[in-house]
Amino acid sequence: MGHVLELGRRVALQPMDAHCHDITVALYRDLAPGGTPFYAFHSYSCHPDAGLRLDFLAAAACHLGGMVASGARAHAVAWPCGAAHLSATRRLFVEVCKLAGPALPALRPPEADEARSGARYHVEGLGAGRYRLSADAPGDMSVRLRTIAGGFGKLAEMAVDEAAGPAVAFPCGHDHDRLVALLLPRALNARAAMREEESVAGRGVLVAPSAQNQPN
Amino acid sequence: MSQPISPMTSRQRVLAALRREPVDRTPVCNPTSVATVELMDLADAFFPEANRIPEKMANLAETSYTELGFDTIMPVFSIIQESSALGCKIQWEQKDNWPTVKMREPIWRDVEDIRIPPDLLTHPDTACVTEAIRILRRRHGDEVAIIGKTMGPWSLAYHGFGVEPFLLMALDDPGKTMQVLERLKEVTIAYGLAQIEAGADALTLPDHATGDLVSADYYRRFLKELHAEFAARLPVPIILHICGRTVDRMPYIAETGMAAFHFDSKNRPDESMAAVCGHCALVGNINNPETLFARDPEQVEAEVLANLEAGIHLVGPECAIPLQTSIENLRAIPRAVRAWHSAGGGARCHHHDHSHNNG
Ligand SMILES: [Zn+2]
Ligand SMILES: [Zn+2]
Repeated sequence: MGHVLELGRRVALQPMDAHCHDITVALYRDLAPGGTPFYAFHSYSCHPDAGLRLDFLAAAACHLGGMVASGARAHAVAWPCGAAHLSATRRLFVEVCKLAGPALPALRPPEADEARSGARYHVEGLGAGRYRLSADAPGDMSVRLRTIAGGFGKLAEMAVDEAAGPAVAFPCGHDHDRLVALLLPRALNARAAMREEESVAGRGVLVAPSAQNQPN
Repeated sequence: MSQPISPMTSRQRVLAALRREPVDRTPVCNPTSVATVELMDLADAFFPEANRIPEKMANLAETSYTELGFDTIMPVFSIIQESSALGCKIQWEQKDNWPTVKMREPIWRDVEDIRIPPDLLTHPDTACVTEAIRILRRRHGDEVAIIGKTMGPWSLAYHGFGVEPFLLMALDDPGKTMQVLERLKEVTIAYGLAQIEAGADALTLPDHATGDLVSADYYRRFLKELHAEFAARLPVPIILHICGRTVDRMPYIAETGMAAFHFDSKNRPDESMAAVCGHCALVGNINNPETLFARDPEQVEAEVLANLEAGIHLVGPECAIPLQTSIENLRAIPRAVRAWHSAGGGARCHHHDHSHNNG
């Protein structure tokens, strides 16, 4: 049996990893000696495959999200800009936990199609952490684009500049191209993406028998 | 003036606090589950097996003491062990969820349907608990308080009849309801005695006569006497657990002879202390869904302090914690208790307690 470790603040949890024997995987946030935030994938599972799975998840966060390996701890990653980007990191955690591994998937292009409207959306880097949103679609898409920009705001704490296209910007002032490409399809329906996170988190809350009204 | 109290073991501390006697520091107590999915990994003991295999149950339960630093071990994570033995259909679920009784498939319609099976205490799902208590007692000796759990008749009736049918019965036919409770109370007693014999130091007794559904007056007329009978017939301290807003019936609960009441965060610590008026101990009441589950150690510590300042006798989560609760939030509870006492809070605590006992 292992022991509880001081790992910092837990910021995300996958209670049952369907791709690795239902182990529980957590993401802990801590500070490196210089004060820079880093995140570490961790599992208390003693399953022999757990270590390989954490290797993969950390590698996938680097590959898909543009994070970099941090020497601070095993399975630790950080943003190259040194910022925390907490919401974006949580979202990235959800995305990488969906991957079966061990092969890393192809990178996402900076565009996404929307089946419902038939529109194709693009993000274009403007430098210094700013990205312009645009759409290939007939008609005026400005309202829709503002909604999507708001989705980036919710999912990754990005600032929204409605006048510029609209554009969204990371407060750190650094580019995160891979992260933006990863987030674009989720930003098309940010509410569903956030509901997905909440429904995983809501499992395992005991309900008193008198308050159970769902059929079971 | 309070005498300095020499250092106590966790077990001594918990038992003294349940008797409302002086303690070296306020005990950290979990009358209900503190199992989490991370602790399951750490102990290599997972739901649902940890509810059904004694060794697994013991391995997961002891992490409250060995890893979290609580003063208690409480192996009865679920509320369905004896209902399974009574014949209720159980959905055992998986690692990240609680087993539940399939209350849409009730097993009783009338008083006469209630039969206590001869294997109530030897059924695998009840025997699992008694065996886990024996394992824990062997492993931990007299160092730590081991708390068992036996469900009250009101909760058992929900499981056997279904919530809505039983509540309708309770409204329409109080006489019949009493007969149901009278029959089912023998389950509560028998299972409680079996756990005491196995080595339990105290028992949690959940009886979900919850605020919104059962009034204080209803509690006084139908449950108070029954609860007093449990306190009299079960020869260890009993910790009554009722979720929800209960401050209106705490004065009645305090008169049952129950050693303690495990109270919900819907009741403020100070008003709850006033309501029980020194007649029983209080255990609680760190909020689960908002604080322990969703916030950070700083907010947990703030709630611990509110309990300590109010003179709450044993501090812990208000109810079974969500399985995804973080370990650092749980460890914040004993840390905050120790910090408060080393900052001199303990002296105030004893003073407060005495004023209640004498007043
Ligand atoms: Zn950045
Ligand atoms: Zn409860």
